[in-house]
Amino acid sequence: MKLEFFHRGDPIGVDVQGSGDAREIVVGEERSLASAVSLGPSSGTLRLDGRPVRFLYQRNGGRVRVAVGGECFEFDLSGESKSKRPGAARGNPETRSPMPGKVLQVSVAPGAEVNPGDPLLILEAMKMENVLAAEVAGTVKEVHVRDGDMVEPGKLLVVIAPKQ
Amino acid sequence: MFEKILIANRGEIAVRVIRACRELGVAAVAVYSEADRDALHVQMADAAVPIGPPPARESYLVIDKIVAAARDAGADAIHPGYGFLSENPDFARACAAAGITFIGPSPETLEASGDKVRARQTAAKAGAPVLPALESISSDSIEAQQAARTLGLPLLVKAAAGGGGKGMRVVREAGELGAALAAAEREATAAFGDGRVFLERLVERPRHIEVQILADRHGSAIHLGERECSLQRRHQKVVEEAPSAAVDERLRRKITDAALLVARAVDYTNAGTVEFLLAPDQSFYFLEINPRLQVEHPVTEMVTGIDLVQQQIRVAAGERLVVRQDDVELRGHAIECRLYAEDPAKRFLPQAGEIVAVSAPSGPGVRVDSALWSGARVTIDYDPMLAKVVTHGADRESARRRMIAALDDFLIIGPPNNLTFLRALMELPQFREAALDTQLIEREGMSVLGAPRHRELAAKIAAYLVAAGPHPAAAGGAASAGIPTPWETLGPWRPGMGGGAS
Repeated sequence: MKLEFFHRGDPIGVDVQGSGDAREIVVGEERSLASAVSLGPSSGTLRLDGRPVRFLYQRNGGRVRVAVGGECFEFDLSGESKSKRPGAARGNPETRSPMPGKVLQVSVAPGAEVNPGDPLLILEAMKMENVLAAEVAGTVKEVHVRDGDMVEPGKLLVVIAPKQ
Repeated sequence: MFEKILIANRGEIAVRVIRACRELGVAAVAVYSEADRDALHVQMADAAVPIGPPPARESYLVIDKIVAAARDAGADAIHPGYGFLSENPDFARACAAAGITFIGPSPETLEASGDKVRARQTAAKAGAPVLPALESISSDSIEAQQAARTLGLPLLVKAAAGGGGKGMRVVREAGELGAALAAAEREATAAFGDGRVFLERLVERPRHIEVQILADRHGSAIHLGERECSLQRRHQKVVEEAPSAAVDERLRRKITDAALLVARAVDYTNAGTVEFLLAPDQSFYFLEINPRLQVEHPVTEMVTGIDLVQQQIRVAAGERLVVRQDDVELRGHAIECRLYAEDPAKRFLPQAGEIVAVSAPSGPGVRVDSALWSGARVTIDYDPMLAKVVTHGADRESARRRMIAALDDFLIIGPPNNLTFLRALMELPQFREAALDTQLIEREGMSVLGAPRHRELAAKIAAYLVAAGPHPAAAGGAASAGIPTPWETLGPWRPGMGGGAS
């Protein structure tokens, strides 16, 4: 059973062989033997290459979230690649409001050249000033808010035309 | 002793105080906003009183509502936790007026501590070292520019009513001063309703050292040693430890003496903290008084074996301190990591969402203070701290190793968090060698964010889960409503039986 997962847009080829309790799983070059020690509706332990690995998980439609070793990963099984476009930037060129808050200061105007990490605007939420920064290098194409605006989560704030 | 204590707080600290009440045999009353109806502190308390809509200014910060809740519930004392109303003298007065004991220092002490400018003057008068400062300044003055020249750069702009890094700005070039003052005033006004700021000479590469104080109402005041809280981001602490690797016996004597001088100068009662900056040349300077329980109090509890919350309650009830200074002994080393719902890669932007599933670490020398449970909601209304992981070991290195193991054991499916970042901090050579300062995280920048280490492992698990097919309990077990399904009667479920063959 060949699968293609996507983690943050990166494709990961996975192959699962065998049936029943013990399976052989290939991720990239790595080949592992896996068997279930226990498996509940949101947690379990697999024996992977002889070592017990405890994890939590959630399945939600075409998405699987796995928490293991102090980390949490979300895999998309839908088969759609977010980053297959050639030369696509890894960051998101669209900055949306992550939370309700007040725009204290817009730091860029359309036409401005930005690099990843450059501040785009300051959003006040939870009584803190949060700097929203550019995720990609490029030119600011659109700015949808002004100083003092109240914004809801998901509101489109700034759009960057990524550098080729 | 009190009969019933109302806890005017939420989250892990409310849970912490409830635990102390249980052990003292005192009933605990919770308060909750609409956002916290299902919160852990509400589930655990003996009684719970609703106090209004989610925004804190309409619930947890409304003095009248809290005092009325305490009166209606028949509470004879209020524990304020940290944050919210804990340092508010008006709240302490309102409690007193209602005949309810405020578990904390007197309103006068809160006033003297809360105003940083005043606290600075008091500390200086009491004989504690302070930094050169300009205590009255506004953003639109030329005077500010002159002051910058007099004090010398770099400078730190601080809010007089400040706390938690709000209203704080570093100024390295004279040209930045105007903007920094304006931003600090704006943030201070929003956060404290008081836009007054002042300028202090910035100490480069300082360590943050604070002294835990415990004082009763009968004139007895002791210290419980120091904590080091040098690892900070956005002027907020993320990792704390006790004792400090930078403090030897001689320095400990000097800094704790200074802390006690300050505490006595403000007639301190109850548990409190005096904060200092320690310069690379071993000189130290008074920073502020925190007249309340600190977030990082567990590291002191771990090395002294003294339950600070129980001590707070006992002292507030009028008891004498049983512990004497000579009884306080520091054993081993403790480290605390603050787990936040935030994205370190996005400048630590707070995150919200549901805690779908959680499994916290445990074991010898591991303590987790949290209000997490599977189903808890992290909302944007409050501080995004999820939990405090505390480890204790015979020495610093064993506490550090224990912390790494504990962080690896913390499994959370929920909003993005800083676990990977915390682990990277624990592995940082400067942390291992205890070569710390408050600017370390900022200076290291992206290099301390930590890279995910288990992506392939997680992909294998996901692949196994997909191949195994849906879990019966997740895929409709609930529909059986108490009637055992064939799956349940089959005993432990094994993948491969469930029709997910590839």
